[in-house]
Amino acid sequence: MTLILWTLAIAVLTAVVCSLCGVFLVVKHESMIAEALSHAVLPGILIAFLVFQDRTSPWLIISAGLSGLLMVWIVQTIRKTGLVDGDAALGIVFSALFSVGIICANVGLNRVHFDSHCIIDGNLAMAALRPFKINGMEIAPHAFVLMATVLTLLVGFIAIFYKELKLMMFDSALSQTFGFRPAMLHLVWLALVSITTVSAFEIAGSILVVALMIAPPATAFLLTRRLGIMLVISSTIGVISSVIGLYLGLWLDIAPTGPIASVAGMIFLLTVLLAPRQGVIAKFRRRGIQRAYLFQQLLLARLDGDDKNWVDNDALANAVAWTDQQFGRTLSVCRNRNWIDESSSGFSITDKGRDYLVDTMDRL
Amino acid sequence: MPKANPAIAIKGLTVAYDSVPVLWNVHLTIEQGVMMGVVGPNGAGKSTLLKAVLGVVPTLAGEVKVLGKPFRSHRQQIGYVPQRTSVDWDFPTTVLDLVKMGTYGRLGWFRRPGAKEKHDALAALDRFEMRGFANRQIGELSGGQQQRAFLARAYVQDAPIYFLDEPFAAVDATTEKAIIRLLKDLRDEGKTIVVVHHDLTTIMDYFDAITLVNKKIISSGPVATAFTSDLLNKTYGGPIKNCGIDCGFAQPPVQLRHPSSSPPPNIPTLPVEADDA
Amino acid sequence: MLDFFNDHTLRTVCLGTAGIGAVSGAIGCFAYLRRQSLIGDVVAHSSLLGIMVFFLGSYLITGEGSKSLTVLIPGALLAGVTSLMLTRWILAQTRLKPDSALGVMLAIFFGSGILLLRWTQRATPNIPGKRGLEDYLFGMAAAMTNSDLWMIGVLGVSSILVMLLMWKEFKLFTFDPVFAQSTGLKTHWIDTLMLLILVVGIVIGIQSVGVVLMIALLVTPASSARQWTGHLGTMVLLASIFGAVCGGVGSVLSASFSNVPTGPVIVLVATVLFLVSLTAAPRRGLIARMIKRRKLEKSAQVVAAGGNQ
Repeated sequence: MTLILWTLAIAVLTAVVCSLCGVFLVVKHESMIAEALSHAVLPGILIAFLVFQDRTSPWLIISAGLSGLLMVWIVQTIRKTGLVDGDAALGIVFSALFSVGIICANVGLNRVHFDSHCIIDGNLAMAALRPFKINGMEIAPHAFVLMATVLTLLVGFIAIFYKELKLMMFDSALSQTFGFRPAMLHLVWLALVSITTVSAFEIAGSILVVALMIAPPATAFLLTRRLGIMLVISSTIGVISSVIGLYLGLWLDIAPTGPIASVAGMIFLLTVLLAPRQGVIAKFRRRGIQRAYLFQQLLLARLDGDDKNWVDNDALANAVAWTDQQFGRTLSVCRNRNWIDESSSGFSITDKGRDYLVDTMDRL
Repeated sequence: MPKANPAIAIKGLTVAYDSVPVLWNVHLTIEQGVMMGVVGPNGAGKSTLLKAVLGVVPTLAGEVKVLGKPFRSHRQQIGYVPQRTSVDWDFPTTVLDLVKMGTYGRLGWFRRPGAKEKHDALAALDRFEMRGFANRQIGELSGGQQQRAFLARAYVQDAPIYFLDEPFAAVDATTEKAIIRLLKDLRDEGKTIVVVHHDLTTIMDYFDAITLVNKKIISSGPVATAFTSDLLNKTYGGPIKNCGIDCGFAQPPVQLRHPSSSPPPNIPTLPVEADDA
Repeated sequence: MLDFFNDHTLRTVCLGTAGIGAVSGAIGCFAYLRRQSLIGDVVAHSSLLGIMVFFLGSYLITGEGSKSLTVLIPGALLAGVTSLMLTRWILAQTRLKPDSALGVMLAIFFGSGILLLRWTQRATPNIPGKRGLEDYLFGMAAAMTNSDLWMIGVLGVSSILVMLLMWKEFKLFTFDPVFAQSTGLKTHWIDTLMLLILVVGIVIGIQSVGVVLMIALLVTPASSARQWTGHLGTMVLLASIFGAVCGGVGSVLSASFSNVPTGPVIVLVATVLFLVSLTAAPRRGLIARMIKRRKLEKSAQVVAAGGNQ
């Protein structure tokens, strides 16, 4: 298989893995953990590299995972003191860990192996080059095998513990009563997120990991309320973003991670506009219709309040916070439906109008 | 003798979020010197009602008058005691600082609070027996002390009207009684007190008047007449029918107490235990 | 030490980062109290896109990419403000929560920013002036010129002045926005003004610590200062001092190692200060709490012992 196809395969796997993870983060409003983790794992990776001098060593992932969990632990401890705002604590801790990492990278290591390019951009373009060997035989790129393993783990976990995960996310108290040990499940879940972040980090770099963990899931969130479908949509968007982004990167001759992140983001923005029910355009029309109804009801209510008296044009126009245009439109609808009577002294409500008003009040 | 302006007069108030009505065609009159409770189920628009009168949420229709004048010119006439959950108790400010905030309205832009403001603030703290806490951080106060600090802020504003949003949420019974005592003292001084309240069992004891809200005003008037089980069912139960009967000017505006008229209605006083709230 | 006073560049850099730190520290207090640290993170990352767009714009116009702050800062400001407004729009229009919306903004703006950065670095024909753009990631204060410092100074001082002028309005609005509005304050304008100042503070700050670490420079001095005082004015002053010290010390330290970007060093100095504040501050600090608890336990034991007689 050609290099590009392998790279594509790796990109796709990484995207699916991150998008799946990200769905649960978005649903629990913990998306920023992705951003924090992607920074916090750096010192772990670097220290392991310094010690073992081997980029393919599994120790890198383990150490990075520990680094991530360290961050979570420190932030929890700080939050428990009640002395510092929670979000600020997160920012302080992951920045500190990341700074340790950057300094290590620049001082302790030869710049050839690690530099800011890799940390931010990842190494997707080179990822297909390093082979994974069994008994000296090259099977597939190392990165491919890694991501495939992580994917299997993740999908397996989600499949087996689907209902327990779902319950834990939405109602951990109930989960506790059922004996599902939500605290432990959450810990295992966090460990999985760390492993995912860490494995993806080396390939994708910090921006892409964050982008893939937040943008596709957020897009899916706008399209459906069902967890299962969200997982499917999220992964699909992840795949689409990575394919388009990869080719964009090839065309511009730059690291593909930036483009993939941007594409994922653009897809999100498009969905915000065009989504069938949640989208801005759809909502605009719906709101317009609702507002028209509301204005009609308000006009009738204003006339109703004044019993048999006529309300002149100006008084009616000033009764509600509508524009002249909206007022005009509302008037003509009410006229056409025979809900109001018109005379030289103004407007008044008809019986038909009153009936309609009472009807809608019932439905309020 | 000319009738005094009602403290609050609301006509045809409608508030909508996203074109969904949250308050619909509210007609409500609150006379001066009255202690009124506002009750209704969750999402009924009680807090929105307070905020609409304060001018903090945009309104779609209707008119609000405070003490006979359009509310825009009379905003500082209402002292607002917020829900405890909406306050950042870790904010770096002392009790005295908090009360001084009540003077910002009359200072206007750019002017700093000076000696007069400090003096007024300390006097307000005296009134609520919080002088000793003047230099404490607000995060160090107990529930009752927090309420009294906010009451002092409203007091230093010299506001004739007080709005309290669920003041008794998560407060113990003793503290609650002490605060009610304070509110009744304020009412006896002629202030108008409006409280969003959640505990239906204490309505008869605490309030002169009651308003039942569920997006519309279900009823409003003296506790004896406006707080019946029928009306309660209507407020908390199913959909509302035949709005034309229960709301709007079909119901005469509530006449309760004018400061210069007869003594307050006979509300049994509650025995107050140790006032350490 | 003598070296320090003799080396003009080092002195400039040190003073520059100290000034930046002071401004960021002060402005960061309100961001901290308004729980806007994540917003600050996103605005910081977003500025990279603006910087790149304006840099490339200057290249297209003049044939040479300009890294002068008079060109880049407006770009950064524009991008920061745009990402903020876009976030607000998304939050208003959809049922997405703030963390997701902010995260997506991060992906879009920073992703595009990196895209442009890498493209610029590898473009042929060579784009002159592109060296040093990378410093916007982690900061490299040594690259600041005198005119840069002037611009930073002007922006920084004006922001602080506005903050001082509007002090009680900012304070009231931060603490109790509903009450603030009910007194007739035009809270919409106050909010916009505060956000503008936040963006200015961030855009200044990234000159020394870079976009990735800006969040730390924004909130760490403020969090540290909060531990030492319960008075807002003192907190802002302290945060300013802390920020200045961290900036100055950090930049001097990082200058001693030629390879090390300024940002991480400043952040680590600030973090150490934060940890010290958390533990050692009187009354609030962890040590003080422990002592208080011991005393309480002791007196409880005494009472219990007394009761047993």
